Amino acid sequence: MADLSGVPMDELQNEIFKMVQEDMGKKQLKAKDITNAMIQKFGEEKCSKESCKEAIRTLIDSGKLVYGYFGGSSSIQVPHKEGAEPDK
Amino acid sequence: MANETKKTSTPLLDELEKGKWPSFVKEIKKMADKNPRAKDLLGQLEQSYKDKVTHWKHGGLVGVRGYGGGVIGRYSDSPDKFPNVAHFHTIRINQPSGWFYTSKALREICDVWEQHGSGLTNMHGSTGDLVLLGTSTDNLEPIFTKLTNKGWDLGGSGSVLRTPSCCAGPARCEFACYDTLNLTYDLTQAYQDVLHRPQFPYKWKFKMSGCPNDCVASVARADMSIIGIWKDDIQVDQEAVRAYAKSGVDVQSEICDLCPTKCMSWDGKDLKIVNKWCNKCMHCINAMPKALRPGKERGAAILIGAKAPILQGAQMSSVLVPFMKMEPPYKELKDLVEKIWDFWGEYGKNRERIGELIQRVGMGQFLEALEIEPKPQMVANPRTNPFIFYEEYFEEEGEQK
Repeated sequence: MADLSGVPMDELQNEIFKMVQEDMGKKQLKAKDITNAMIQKFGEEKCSKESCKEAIRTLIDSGKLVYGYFGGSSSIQVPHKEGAEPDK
Repeated sequence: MANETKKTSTPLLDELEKGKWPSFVKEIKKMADKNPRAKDLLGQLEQSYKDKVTHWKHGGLVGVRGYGGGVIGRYSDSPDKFPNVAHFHTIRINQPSGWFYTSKALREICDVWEQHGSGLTNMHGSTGDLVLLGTSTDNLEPIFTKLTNKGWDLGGSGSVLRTPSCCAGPARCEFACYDTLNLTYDLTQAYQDVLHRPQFPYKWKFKMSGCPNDCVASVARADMSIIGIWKDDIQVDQEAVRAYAKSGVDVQSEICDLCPTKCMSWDGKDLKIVNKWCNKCMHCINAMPKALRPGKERGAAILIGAKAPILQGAQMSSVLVPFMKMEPPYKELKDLVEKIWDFWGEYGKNRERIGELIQRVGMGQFLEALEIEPKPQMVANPRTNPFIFYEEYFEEEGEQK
């Protein structure tokens, strides 16, 4: 019988953070890329679009992840010092 | 912040102060006397004119906590030379429907902006937002706090629902076929989450026009254009038509002959309209507003897929729903929008607008996914019909074989 209990929110957040951290500098990840990857990892029975959305929201609100912007398009990133940002 | 009193020498920019028209250089110079950011802006701009190259760098992580839009990062590539514009971020403020402000509200914004930014604004950006030009990263949170305390909010930027915008609609225009202001406000409130938190493959713009004059140019710019339209006959006051003719309007050549579908005739006494031929171009109504009015059965046509040339060429929107009643709570519209967003979220590539996705997968697939029946009004260009489906024909042929 399939285990239908969802992925714990903490675990989901950790996985999302890990994914964004690993892809830093390689890919501009969007919420959709992260959601698809998590559903693929945990399976549709255990991980939904809604739970991914909630996990991303919590990570953004806590400041652990931030939204980046370039050319009218957004991505999710680990906070870092901007290459463009001048030294103070 | 460095604040030198020495005036910046700007011989090239000075040229742009000449002539009768208001000059942006004149305005920046006025602000440069009291704001060092504006002063360095002049310096960097003069440098750009000399070098024939921009000295701005764009994008980045700047924003306010929890929001993915509303701030557009901008940095100088010569911070040593122009330290006061080392950061020069743009802030988008969600404008009220139809751009109605009290002078008190504008003063509130300007006070915050003079304290924390360059003092320079842009009313309004092409997105429709009220734009504040030029501040540094450390000023973003204080600006946001002060503005939200006064009831303002940031607009959209990035892969979000961009701030919905509309024409002045029934507040100032007799042709409005639905309440553009109310719909804009309603959509803004209903979709706060997607306005502030990027969840889409790319940007999504709603623009609401009250009539086919399309004063917000939604047909050229919006992923979804919601354009007021009527279903029944144009209202005609024959007396008023005759009064126009008497006052010198050549009804035949100025009205009937310029009608694109030739649906009107004038016998010197009465103006006759074959309404089923009318394509709602608004020419006759604009030319004789006292005599002609849109019909009484009003709503909106929903068009899809316009965009400016960023990744691919420009595209105009085309009809998706020829007529929809546009009344609160706008359930039919919201159901359609959310279905489209689901489809786009599922199949859209990164940085692909909905119009490009439709082009890639084909309108047939798109309509099928949305469970919308093809209709004759869904023509992308006059005298073409790209949405004829031969599936049944092929099925029949296959069965015969």
